Amino acid sequence: MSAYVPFLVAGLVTGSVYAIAATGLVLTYRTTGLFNFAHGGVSMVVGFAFHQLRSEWSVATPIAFVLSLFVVGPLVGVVIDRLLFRNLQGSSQAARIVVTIGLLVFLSGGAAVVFGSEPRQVEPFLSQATIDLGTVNLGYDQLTIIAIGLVVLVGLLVFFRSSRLGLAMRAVVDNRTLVRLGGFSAGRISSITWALGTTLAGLAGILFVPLVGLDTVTLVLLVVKAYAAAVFGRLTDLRIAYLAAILLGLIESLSLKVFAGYPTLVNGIRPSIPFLCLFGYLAFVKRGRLRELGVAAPWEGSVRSRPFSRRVQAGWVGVGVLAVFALSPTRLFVFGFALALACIFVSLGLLIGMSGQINLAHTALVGTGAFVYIHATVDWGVPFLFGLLIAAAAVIPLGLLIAVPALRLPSLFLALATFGFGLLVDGLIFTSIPFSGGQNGLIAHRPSLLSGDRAYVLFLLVMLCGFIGIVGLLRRSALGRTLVALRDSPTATETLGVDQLWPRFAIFAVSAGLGGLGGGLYAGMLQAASKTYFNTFTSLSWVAVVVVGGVQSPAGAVLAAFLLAFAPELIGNRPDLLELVAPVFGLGAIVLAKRPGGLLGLLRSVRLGDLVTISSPRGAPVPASGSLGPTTNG
Amino acid sequence: MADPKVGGAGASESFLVARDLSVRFGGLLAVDAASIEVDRGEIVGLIGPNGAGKTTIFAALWGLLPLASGSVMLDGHDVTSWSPARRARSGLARTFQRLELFGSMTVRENLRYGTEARALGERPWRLLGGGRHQDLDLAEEILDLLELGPVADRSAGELPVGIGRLIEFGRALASRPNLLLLDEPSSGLDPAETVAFVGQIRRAVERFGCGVLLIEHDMSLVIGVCERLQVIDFGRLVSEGPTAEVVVDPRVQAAYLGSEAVGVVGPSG
Repeated sequence: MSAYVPFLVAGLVTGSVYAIAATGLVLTYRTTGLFNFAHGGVSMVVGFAFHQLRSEWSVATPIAFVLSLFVVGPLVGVVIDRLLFRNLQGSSQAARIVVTIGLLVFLSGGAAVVFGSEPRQVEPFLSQATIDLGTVNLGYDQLTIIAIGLVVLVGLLVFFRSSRLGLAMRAVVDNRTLVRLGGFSAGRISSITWALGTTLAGLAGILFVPLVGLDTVTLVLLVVKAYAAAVFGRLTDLRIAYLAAILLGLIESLSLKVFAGYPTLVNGIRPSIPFLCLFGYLAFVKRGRLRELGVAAPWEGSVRSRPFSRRVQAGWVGVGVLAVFALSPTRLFVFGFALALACIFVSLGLLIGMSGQINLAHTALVGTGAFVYIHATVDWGVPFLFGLLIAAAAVIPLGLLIAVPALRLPSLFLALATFGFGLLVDGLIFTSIPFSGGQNGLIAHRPSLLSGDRAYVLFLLVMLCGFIGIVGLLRRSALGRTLVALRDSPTATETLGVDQLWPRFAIFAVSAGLGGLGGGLYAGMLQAASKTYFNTFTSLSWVAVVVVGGVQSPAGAVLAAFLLAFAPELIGNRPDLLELVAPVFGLGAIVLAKRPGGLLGLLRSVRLGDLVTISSPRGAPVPASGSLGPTTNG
Repeated sequence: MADPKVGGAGASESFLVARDLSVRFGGLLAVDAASIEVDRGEIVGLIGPNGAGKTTIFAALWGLLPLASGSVMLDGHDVTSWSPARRARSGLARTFQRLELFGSMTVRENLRYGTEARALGERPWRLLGGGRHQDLDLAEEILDLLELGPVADRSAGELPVGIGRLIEFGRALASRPNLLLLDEPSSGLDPAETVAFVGQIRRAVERFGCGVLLIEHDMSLVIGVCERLQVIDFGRLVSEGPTAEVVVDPRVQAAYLGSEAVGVVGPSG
């Protein structure tokens, strides 16, 4: 039995850190109604700040601790509150999700710029002394962390139960006026809440670093495991979130011991347990049990964009064909890359734009498509076009699997479910070496007729036109109208006689099928595919990038793909600036989240005439009316 | 407007027959063995004080709440275990107290979608088609009937509540229902709009022959339009019958109208 004790303690330690992160997440969500997807990003930034101060700048540990935890942490929170949260009053859930995802992309990318992306080891800062309990040794650091976790939980419970501020925080999400009557300003409460929430995120970050080392991706991923715990507490119950976090830590740790004899099980499944729990819970939870807090407006994307005229469409296709023959080989490759990416983005933008639902697992779908395409054409010798079709067909069931929670969950919980699903595919399927080739990836083939870049890129251009055509057909179909109806009012749609099941399945299936096809095309373009192209955090950036381009029409997705692919060219191929691309798109998503027209919509709303008459009394051109929705600035 | 699927049952039975509906919220019996019948062409009011259980009965008729007991029959079929969408396909339609419009569609598109929704629900593969199942003429006719022509191409979401109620009513009519449930149709309307709405409900029933069951607070609307009333209090039906008789029933006055209200209501009833 005593052989299990060290694992038990280690599980309690990890669980406690999960719990600290989860309580911070629950605290902010239940007080402000905004789920912070960037919670893990905040942990990472504070954790890095602490160790930067301590190790690189030789600040004494207690001072570094105080500075990072009680200055950097709350500061991030106040910035989130002032710049993001208050601008999101009266905006849709989709815009809220996109904003915090943009923030996560910004923080992850920004941390790589500031701190570098090389993982670092750090010295522990808690005492390494141990207490000898006969057969086992307990570390003081372990006991400290477990104690901190308990203190945080009990402290928060007491605070919410008995302090006036705590009671006001419980009321603020439901009724801002009530809080004002109680003598508190709702604005001050939300500032305090965010500061507290990000401080807890930071605490989790600081405590995690000695356990796992300094690495931007790992830290974010670890804290994302706490999202599962928070969801078990329905994002509102601190106690359940705490218990779930501890339980996750224990399961993770004990499975290390129990399944010690099965390394594949330990290495493969163990890290994915929290994501399995997250997706499993959300896939099977009773309808209506999970509710979104706060009043979310209908999706801003409801305002339709003007369609492009046939002449404009033909003009752009002409430009594309011309580019294929005029570009230098290097640029032609980037152009082809952009086209393949555009196909993928069209398949993602289709879902976001038509249903207002956000799929954070699109890389899982596209990646599966890419790998299946390679196995079909290379291993089974299937002809090229059939290989593409098999890739699309193989991905559709995955899309339907994601659609199951979409039938019953409000969009925030759907986004979380897809997040869990994506991480699950990352951890369980893409790690399989026979399937994905592991770290080295797989070589992809093109058919002999299209083996040259020029021919293949021309083929991609045709395919992209096909993708756009399909989207156009869908938008004009009864399915398109039904999705608009479901977006505006699911209740009214059902009481007119339409079940949610088929339209939701249909759009997820089409988006997944096109995504799988896009994956095959992408692999063909790069003549390779690797799991590193398709991890779930890439998926988050894709969402950010597509939103920046615009989701109201496939043209926005195409614009997004070209921006991303040509970003290195646009900044003059300077490797030192290359890492700025991701944070810039993250920032762009934050700014444009409430404008589903995206950059494309902005570009189209600026006309030559407006530029000439800038000094006119009317002032700046206004984008399509109503697309911004009401905003209250604090 | 004869629907080929309608008329399977004997003419003796009403389109909607709900028997002994009970709904329990924890320990509270919110609806206690309430029975309701409404046939095509009939306008019936469901009235009662706040918290009497009217809205709960609507939810129960739609299958949005689990029933503690009782059954709901539509056109002779037991639909107690059916989903809301399936009930809608058998001829039930509704409006909402809190508007549930397709705000990003124009008024005309709201009605056109109403005309095709049932076909799309019955045969899901039709979702992949174009607009073949839209009944454009019916949509135009309803636009005329409800005098929505001038705003037909405006976004439904940007119009005032009064017009929103008409759009919902029109959209429900567009689905060619046999029975239309109206949830507080006068809420948010001024007295003039309410009077106009009464006329429109009557004309619609005349034209399309559907039945109407409405929940309403505004007694002038109820008396103006309903042929029959069912009065509910504490989850029980306390009185039912022709409007003129019910409004003078002492039990109803005690439960709902109060002695002052009778003075207002008496002369017109």
